[in-house]
Amino acid sequence: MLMLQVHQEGKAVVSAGSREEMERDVAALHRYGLWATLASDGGED
Amino acid sequence: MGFARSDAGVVLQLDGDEQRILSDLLYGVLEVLADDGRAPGDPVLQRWFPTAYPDDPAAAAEFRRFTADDLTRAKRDSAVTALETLDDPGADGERLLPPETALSWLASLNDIRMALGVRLGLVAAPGEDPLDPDELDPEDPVAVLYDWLTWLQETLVRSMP
Repeated sequence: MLMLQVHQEGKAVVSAGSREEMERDVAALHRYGLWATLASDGGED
Repeated sequence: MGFARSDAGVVLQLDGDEQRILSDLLYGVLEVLADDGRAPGDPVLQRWFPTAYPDDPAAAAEFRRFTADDLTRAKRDSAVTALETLDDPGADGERLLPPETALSWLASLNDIRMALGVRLGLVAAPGEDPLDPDELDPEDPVAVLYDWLTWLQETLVRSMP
């Protein structure tokens, strides 16, 4: 399902949480060569 | 040939040409990582060190400042570990890889394929469409190499414990 969404829409949300937690997740995904990015949903961080 | 699973773990079997090619590619990874004068706009580096905040250059720069060194070190360590495997003559042409070493190979093969993929146009610049792998010129030596690395990576994934 996740892979299908990435394939069809070019991206998918894989994690949500505080900015600090998300930056850690993104750094980990970059180690696997995955093109992870962060965006704010406008909520508290 | 390639990677295979055995009772003792993952084994790697390469002929002399394959060994030389992989050695060259791994040294190439180390050279790019060690080049302090590298252009930040280089598309290979943009793929290896993706921007974490595409719409916020200041946040992206800060993220990079805190994570780029670790990511560089991880890539370098993987390539060095893989090169050490190649230096090991093995037994009967077979090298046995400890699980951690197999993970290093997985990371380095991925780095090499990402770099070649960028050069071949399989990873597009912003606003451009990437090339379909089926459209690669079968006569292009880089495309042949890319295909071989894809096959090699698959043998490793299938052999992982």
